[in-house]
Amino acid sequence: MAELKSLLGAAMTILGVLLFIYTFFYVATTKGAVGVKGQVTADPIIGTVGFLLILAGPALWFGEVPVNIKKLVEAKTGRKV
Amino acid sequence: MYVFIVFVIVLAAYFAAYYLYGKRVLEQKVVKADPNRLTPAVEKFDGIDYVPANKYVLYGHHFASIAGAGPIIGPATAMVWGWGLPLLWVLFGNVFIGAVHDYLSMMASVRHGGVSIMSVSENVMGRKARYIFLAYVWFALVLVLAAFNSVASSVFVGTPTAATLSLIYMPLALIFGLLVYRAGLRVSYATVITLILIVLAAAYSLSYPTYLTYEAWVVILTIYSFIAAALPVWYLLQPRDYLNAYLLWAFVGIAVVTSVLTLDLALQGPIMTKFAVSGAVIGALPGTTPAKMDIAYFWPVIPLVIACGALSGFHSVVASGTTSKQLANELDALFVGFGAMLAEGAVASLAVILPIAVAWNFAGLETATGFPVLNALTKAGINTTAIKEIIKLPAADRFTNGYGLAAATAFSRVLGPSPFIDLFLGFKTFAAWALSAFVLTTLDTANRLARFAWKEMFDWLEKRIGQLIKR
Repeated sequence: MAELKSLLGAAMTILGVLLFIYTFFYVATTKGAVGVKGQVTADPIIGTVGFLLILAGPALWFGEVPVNIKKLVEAKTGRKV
Repeated sequence: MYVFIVFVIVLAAYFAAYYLYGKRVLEQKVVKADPNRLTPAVEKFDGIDYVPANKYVLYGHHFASIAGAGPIIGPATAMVWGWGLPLLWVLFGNVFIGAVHDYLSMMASVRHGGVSIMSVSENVMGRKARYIFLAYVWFALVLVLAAFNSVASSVFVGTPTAATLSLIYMPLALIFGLLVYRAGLRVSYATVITLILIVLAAAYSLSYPTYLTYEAWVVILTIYSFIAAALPVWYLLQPRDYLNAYLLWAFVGIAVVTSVLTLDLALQGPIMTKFAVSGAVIGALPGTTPAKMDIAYFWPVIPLVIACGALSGFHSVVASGTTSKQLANELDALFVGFGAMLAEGAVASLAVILPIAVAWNFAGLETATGFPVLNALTKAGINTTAIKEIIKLPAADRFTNGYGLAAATAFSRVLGPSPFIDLFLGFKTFAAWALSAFVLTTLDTANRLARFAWKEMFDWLEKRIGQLIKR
């Protein structure tokens, strides 16, 4: 289960990064803007989907509490977390 | 009246409030903060919501969550009474009511195991009061979510370059978190790397706006706030809010430098327009009789208009919600709770009221400084023939244009008049980005707080289900 979650997270992150780079660095520089004023077009939607995937993906990919936070709590409480 | 006088009064009031009132009275005599007492973040650590944080990280989180649009849009709206009355209210309300309220509600939660102020109320008012309070707060948080989603969407439509920057900023905060927590890089190195990337992103975003309709932004930000509120706090909230603290200091720092460089400049705006202004200020529908009548009296309307900048009940929900669950040491609480509220007052007075008062009359500012104010505004899409005073703009635009004009004036005094227009456009985007960063933080914090309130509201059900499973 943990491996599946991690794989899904990795896939989401990679896809998110690709969509994000495509929109905000390729489309933006070639067209001078992302989207058209006053309209809903595909480019900004693709970019924001990439943005949302980047937000959620790494949390699933690397989803455990960082070691230094664990150590701080263990040192203060004296119990294993 | 000159910038100098207002600037000195504001700084003196906040320094005296922090050290003489906050430190000596509230922390040492009222709360009696004890660094050796375990805080809920440590005692009830769960790796998701109860996670101890560095006090500067927590300060950034708390400030960005309580700030939202309140200390910016509120004072900008209140400028219809002139700049003197709103400033007076911000100073008084902020020091003697707002900051005290925020700090004490945080400590009340800390001393009750990190539960919300609604659950703390059970000890004083009983169980029924607690559930009524929880239900009220939950519904109020839904309204907060709707309001802040609307403000952020409007800012993105009004300043599309700020949308690009906000979308790039968030992944950079994640990179910062991964550099520190996963790659084991020192916080100082990671900070420098990320701040450089943010500056580059800011410069890049100025040339590449992101266009979407208001409705599309509302949908996207709703999905964003749902995802962000469900993620562990150490993953997005803490690194982003640590960086938010730098944004805050840059934002306030530019306002302070602007004030210092324009100390001799006279304020263009009136100290007071009149005591009662049009009902439109307090929400009367345009075209109706109340909107045309002067029924919005400064008092008692002002606490509703300038909410977060002076005092806000929402802050106790944040202080006893996400912040109290991350407080690593009781001695950090004054800096986080009391200090963040004073900083919010500083934002309201130095970054909103003062710049708008300086830039009140566009032609007057151009005459006083010799800089191309009218050309700059025209380039930003404002018709200066029809709009001669900043007060004629909507509240959010008063803030972004006022901040941009005041900062561009100050820096052009050092750099010369030629970069004035570029400086104005740059500072205007920066102001819009700062506003949207604070609003987005409040958005997902409010969502997380609504989750806490919902959970506490149904704790009785959780216990019963637990008993049923045991049977």
